[in-house]
Amino acid sequence: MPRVTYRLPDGRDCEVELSNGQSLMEGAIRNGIGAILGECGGSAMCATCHVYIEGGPVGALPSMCDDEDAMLEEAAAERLGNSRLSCQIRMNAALDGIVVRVPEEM
Amino acid sequence: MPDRTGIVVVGAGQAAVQLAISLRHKGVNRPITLFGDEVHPPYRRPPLSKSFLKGDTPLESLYFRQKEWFQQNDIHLRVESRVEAIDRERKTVRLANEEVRYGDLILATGTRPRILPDLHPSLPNVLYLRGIDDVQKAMTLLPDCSSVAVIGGGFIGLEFASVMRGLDRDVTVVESAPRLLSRAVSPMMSDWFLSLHQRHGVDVRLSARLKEVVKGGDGRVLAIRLEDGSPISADLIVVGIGVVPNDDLAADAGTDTDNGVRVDARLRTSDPNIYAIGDCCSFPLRDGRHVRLESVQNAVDQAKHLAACLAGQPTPYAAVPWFWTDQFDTKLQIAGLLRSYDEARIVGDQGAPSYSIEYLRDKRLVAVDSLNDARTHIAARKLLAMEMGAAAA
Repeated sequence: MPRVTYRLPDGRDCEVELSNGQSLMEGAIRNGIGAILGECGGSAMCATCHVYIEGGPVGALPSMCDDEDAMLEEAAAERLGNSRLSCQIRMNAALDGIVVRVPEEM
Repeated sequence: MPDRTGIVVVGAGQAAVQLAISLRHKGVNRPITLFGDEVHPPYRRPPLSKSFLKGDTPLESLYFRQKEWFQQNDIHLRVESRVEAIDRERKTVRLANEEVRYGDLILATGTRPRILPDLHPSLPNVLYLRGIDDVQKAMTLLPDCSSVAVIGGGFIGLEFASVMRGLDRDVTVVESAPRLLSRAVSPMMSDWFLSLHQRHGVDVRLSARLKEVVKGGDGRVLAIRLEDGSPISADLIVVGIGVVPNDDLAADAGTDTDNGVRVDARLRTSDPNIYAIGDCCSFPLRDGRHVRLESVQNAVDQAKHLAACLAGQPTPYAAVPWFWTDQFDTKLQIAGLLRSYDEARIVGDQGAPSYSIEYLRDKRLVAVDSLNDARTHIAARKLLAMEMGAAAA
């Protein structure tokens, strides 16, 4: 199964396997990555699953839809060029090895 | 003296969990206990009538946190534990076999569906959508079901109708009001959703009332008949005619209730050690009018606010309400509260698949409906927050 690394606010890395189709938000919650809340449940209606893409096969990421782009303006942590909503990224083989940084919990 | 300082939360939904998360995040280290009456750990409700019903979201993804998280954060999560009464004199809550002391008591009891006596949820092919168990019942019935009758043209009913059309079932929506979503959106939006559903093959009956329910020997509903005489046959009946707040505990304990647990601007009930948050909470707006809102935004914002109050930062609660619904290829996002308005302005092209409507009262923006138009929605939240700040100054 493809793997993702969550880089935590305290600097630790947490590497986990996700099943195909599972979103990075769901993977974070299931693996106890505490700072990811996913209040809206993956509808791109809140920005509580905001992450920064740090490395890995970034070219394989899905492009950002308008909803996600607009919602990132609401994120509690600063929006950067590599900001994404983790609920909008579904795991697949091409994304194996992706690294995302989780912002400090607000 | 941990028993005297404990924070006890009745309820284990989104407001309750957010409160626990925010209290710990703010460094409040008092004991926290959540009492939930369902078997499941705390979970998200919005996907229930959307992606979970479609089968796109596995059960575990609905849970806010793993069980271990609650342990690690010293939050006592008690599932299948119904609080039966509050003793305000002794500051305890009573469960079936025990009594638990509280320092502060938070009511996050939510709501329950309004029940139609003729279409009781215990009937084998009748459904009310509130929890995971209800949707699981729907999923077991669906394989043998080719037609669905939805009673009530509100958000839950219409979301269910849209998923059912996506699964190729015949769908009839029965709404007693002359328009859909009449409690929540403007007549213009109602018309838009009527044509959306009709375009996708939903048979929508407006101003339609149930007259008769025909049942078989096993209690199965065979058919329903409307007051105008028209019969509707359906394998599955889904009822979504609104909810009632779970304010009985508060009422029985003698704290004020009025369509929900009545609180002041700091979310405190008439008892200074009892608070209410989320769907069950009737709270004052800036103009003093009390409202009760059923939404993720309301649950989360009130929980965060109360956590700040309990952490020693008491301020009046004020937040811009927002809401969303997904139906077919459309996401409606609502910012603000639409009560009355004297002007409506179209932003964008009304014929287009994405546009917004701004509602004003006395030249001030009160609410914005956005159809597939997240950008306008986000801008509206910010504008309305500024208006609120201006009104407070």
